[in-house]
Amino acid sequence: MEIDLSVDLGSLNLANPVLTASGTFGYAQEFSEFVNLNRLGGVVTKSITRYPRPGNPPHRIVEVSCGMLNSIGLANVGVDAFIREKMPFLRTLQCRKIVNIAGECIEDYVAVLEKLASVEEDIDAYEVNLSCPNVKEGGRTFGKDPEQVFKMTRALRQMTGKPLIVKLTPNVSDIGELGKAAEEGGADILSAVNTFVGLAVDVERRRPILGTVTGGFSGPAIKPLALAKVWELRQAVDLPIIGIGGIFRANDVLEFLLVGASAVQVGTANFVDPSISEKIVDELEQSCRRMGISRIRDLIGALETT
Amino acid sequence: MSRQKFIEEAQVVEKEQLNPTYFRIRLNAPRISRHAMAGQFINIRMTHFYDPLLPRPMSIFRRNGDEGWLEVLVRVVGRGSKALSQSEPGDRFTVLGPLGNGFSLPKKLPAVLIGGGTGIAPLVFLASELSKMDVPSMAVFGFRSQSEVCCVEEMRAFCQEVFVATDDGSYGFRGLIPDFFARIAEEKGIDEATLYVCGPVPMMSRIADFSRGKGYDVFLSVEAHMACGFGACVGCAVPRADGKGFVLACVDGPVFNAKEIRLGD
Ligand SMILES: Cc1cc2nc3c(=O)[nH]c(=O)nc-3n(C[C@H](O)[C@H](O)[C@H](O)COP(=O)(O)OP(=O)(O)OC[C@H]3O[C@@H](n4cnc5c(N)ncnc54)[C@H](O)[C@@H]3O)c2cc1C
Ligand SMILES: Cc1cc2nc3c(=O)[nH]c(=O)nc-3n(C[C@H](O)[C@H](O)[C@H](O)COP(=O)(O)O)c2cc1C
Ligand code: FES
Repeated sequence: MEIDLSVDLGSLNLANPVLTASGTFGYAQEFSEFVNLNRLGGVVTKSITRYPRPGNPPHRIVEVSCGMLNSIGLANVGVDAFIREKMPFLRTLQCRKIVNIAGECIEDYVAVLEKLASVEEDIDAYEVNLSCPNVKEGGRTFGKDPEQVFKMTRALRQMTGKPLIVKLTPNVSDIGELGKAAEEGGADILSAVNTFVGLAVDVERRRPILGTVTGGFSGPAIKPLALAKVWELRQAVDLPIIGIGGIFRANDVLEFLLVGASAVQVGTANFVDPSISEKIVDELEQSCRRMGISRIRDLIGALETT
Repeated sequence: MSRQKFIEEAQVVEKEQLNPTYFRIRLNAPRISRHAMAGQFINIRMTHFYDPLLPRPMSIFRRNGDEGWLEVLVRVVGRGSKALSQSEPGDRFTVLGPLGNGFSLPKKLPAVLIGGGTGIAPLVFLASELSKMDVPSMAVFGFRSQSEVCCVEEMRAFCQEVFVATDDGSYGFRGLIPDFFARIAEEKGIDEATLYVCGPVPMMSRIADFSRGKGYDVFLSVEAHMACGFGACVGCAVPRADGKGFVLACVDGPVFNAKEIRLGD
């Protein structure tokens, strides 16, 4: 049986639903010796900012039960160096290339997008990271405020015709409201979730382990939380959703598809096994064959709750 | 410099408990072994379940490229190292390596290898390589007490001189490595040397301080909390000495010129 793994997220079509999550896959080249990148649905870059960012002081990483906390602080080379040093490699890829952008205020995001316009023919979509805990506007994390999410999405929508993916934070009581705000602002796709806020303590030293006290919680431990957020979002909006959180194997991907995601991103798993993203693609095909599913898209939103 | 990396399903072929907390584990990993350079490390995944989740970085302690094995010297501190210490011949771990930059050859002689605790691991590998190239070297090793002392005989075969100290004086010199090294340097009139230092941060800091203004090139092998081990997560940041951001322990290091970095507290 021919298995069709392709999925469509509006105008963004993917050969298969497996993307890599921002900040866990470098600029893709780091993984080129472990993964045939062209077998993935696509790659998502680390968050790119207007200026280079050195990131937060150590420790930036700590392991917790079945997961990890990070406080990388959006360390990246900045948009100019990204275009100069990282785009030449990305350009050579046949899979979808998604550039994740971040900033501290609307002007920052706008500035990044303006610069990326010069290489836009090699970019398939933008993902807007609205959900980094360090990103503040007027003292509030603006990714948590539906009004700000709307304004940001609208501002960026006016600048590009490329598919615009808005990445949402799960650290709110109603993720559906954020999704609606992005939808009204003109987003094409939503991705959920970014990391949950977490904290780990060194009891002997009576200190937090991370340099920034709290950090972003990711990995297998967050999968049920992330699935619930995607499910909530599915009820609230019509836009295609990219599910993210704790995906390590094909079965995890199928869970996200069933609750309503059209594609997924693999994050923390890339650190545990750098070749895992491609393995998941292989496994997905086998799973579909075993389950007698010829088109993976038929599973999207097919969760039966009654 | 070889920067090719491999993922191998490495089988434990030998395990030896050296003292209450140190274990020597020999893994069959032919490709990593063949390409490894002294000072590089491997990332060992303990389980295919999710706990412990992240692979654990361990220095390459010994290797035999022809026979296809490499060894790590593990001190049990938490769950990951405990799992390694409880492995038995026949068990398999997924291993990624060789990782990091490794030591560069000394420009100033002699090479002085200064190690504390399991920090001696990469230095044992370095000593064997230097001895193959007839580069004169000496070693200054420190342990908590006699029960931890290891590799001394082996080092004598590689180095012209080997000095050992223990914190409690139960073996060799009594006291801390930086003091011990300062005394040796003075007695022997060593005013030029390349120091290769690996051990606890306070030890490395004090040796770097002591060496400032002297005719020593000082290389430190540092540890940082890591996730990926190959430059993708940007988690293993070490502050630069000039205050301009960070370098990455896994790809820019783990070996740094002491002038490049600022060690934490
Ligand atoms: C380049 C490099 C080489 C190393 N070589 C050796 C070696 O040859 N022998 C040896 O015994 N140890 C070595 N270490 C330290 C070793 O990686 C840690 O002791 C080990 O990761 C602890 O894991 P755990 O689960 O036992 O402890 P836990 O305390 O349970 O670990 C919790 C988390 O913290 C991280 N962590 C804790 N301590 C350290 C540390 N000192 N360095 C880095 N991460 C840490 C762990 O990786 C894990 O993610 C090396 C570290 C680095 C970075
Ligand atoms: C070390 C690390 C760095 C991350 N950096 C970014 C980033 O720069 N931009 C972003 O949008 N998300 C970032 N994320 C969040 C991931 O893209 C993803 O949303 C999250 O980790 C949940 O997925 P996972 O459980 O599969 O890792 C980062 C996550 C980790 C673990
Ligand atoms: S451990 Fe991931 S970048 Fe160094």
